[in-house]
Amino acid sequence: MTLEGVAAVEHAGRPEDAASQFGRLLAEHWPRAYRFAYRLCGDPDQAEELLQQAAEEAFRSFRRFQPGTRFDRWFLRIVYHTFVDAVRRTRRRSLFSLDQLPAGQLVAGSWSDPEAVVEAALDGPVQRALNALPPEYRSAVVLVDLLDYSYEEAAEVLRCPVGTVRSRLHRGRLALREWLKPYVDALRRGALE
Amino acid sequence: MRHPQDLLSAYVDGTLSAEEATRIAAHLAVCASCRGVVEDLLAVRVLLRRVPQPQPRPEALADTLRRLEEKASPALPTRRLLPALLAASVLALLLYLPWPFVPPGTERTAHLQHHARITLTHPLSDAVLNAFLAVPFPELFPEEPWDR
Repeated sequence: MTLEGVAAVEHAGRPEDAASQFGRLLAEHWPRAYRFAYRLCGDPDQAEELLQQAAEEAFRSFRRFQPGTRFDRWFLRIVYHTFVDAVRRTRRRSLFSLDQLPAGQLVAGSWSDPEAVVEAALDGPVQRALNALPPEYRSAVVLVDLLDYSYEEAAEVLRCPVGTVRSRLHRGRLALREWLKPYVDALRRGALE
Repeated sequence: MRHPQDLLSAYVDGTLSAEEATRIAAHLAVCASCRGVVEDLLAVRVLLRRVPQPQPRPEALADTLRRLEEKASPALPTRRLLPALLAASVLALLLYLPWPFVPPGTERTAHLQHHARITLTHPLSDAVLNAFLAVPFPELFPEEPWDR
């Protein structure tokens, strides 16, 4: 069976070879892994590239994956480390400036759903603010606030104590509070309801 | 009580112990500054949870799996074969060069070189190999008790 085909194949309870099992697990957790990669990179093409590299690394290490443990946390850990390695190599981290925030541009397009308009308008500023966070803070915020992981689950992905997740998450949110201040204030005034 | 800044996110998330949460709540009741931080943190959390969830390209997974498969079984595994081909070439070259360690021209040397060339292209089993070598080197294969 080809790796490409396993995503569409029903797991019928028969013994699987490693490649089939890997393909099935990757397909199962692909959307979540993409959201994680996208929010880490802030760009769809880079997110796909990151996932490709992480998938290659994971496939090479798959014999060390212990059945019964959570594949998503194991794979997201590889995604995160691949991302951090890439950041270190390319030194792509850019300094954040408040000038990059298109503050006040909350009204966009002529969509019929006001909620969707607000959400789409928030996406750019939120992503740019995330991009400005150091990777260790960004990953904690993305896991807990965007992927809805518990502190314990995030600690498992990031391979650090729960207290470290708590601290990184808090510092990340405090930084985002400053960078997203116009939106935070608008939300507190009820202007984004 | 000092401002419990580091615990406020965990308070907002409800991940503190009951004892810690009670202590923070008591502090918030009398500290407008920390109440402001908590409200801001709640707003940040709401903002983050309201952004749309990005969706991968429908073909992205299939593309990734296809590339994985290509890398797992490359059509031309030159990277793996290269060292073996290099070693075989060097060995073959050595066999055709004048042998520096054995006096040339003897029957044994010629036989050994001939045999080495054959084994390079046609790996033989031990039994066949031994039978082949027993002709020029009978002393290497003394008669065993079970041969008698």
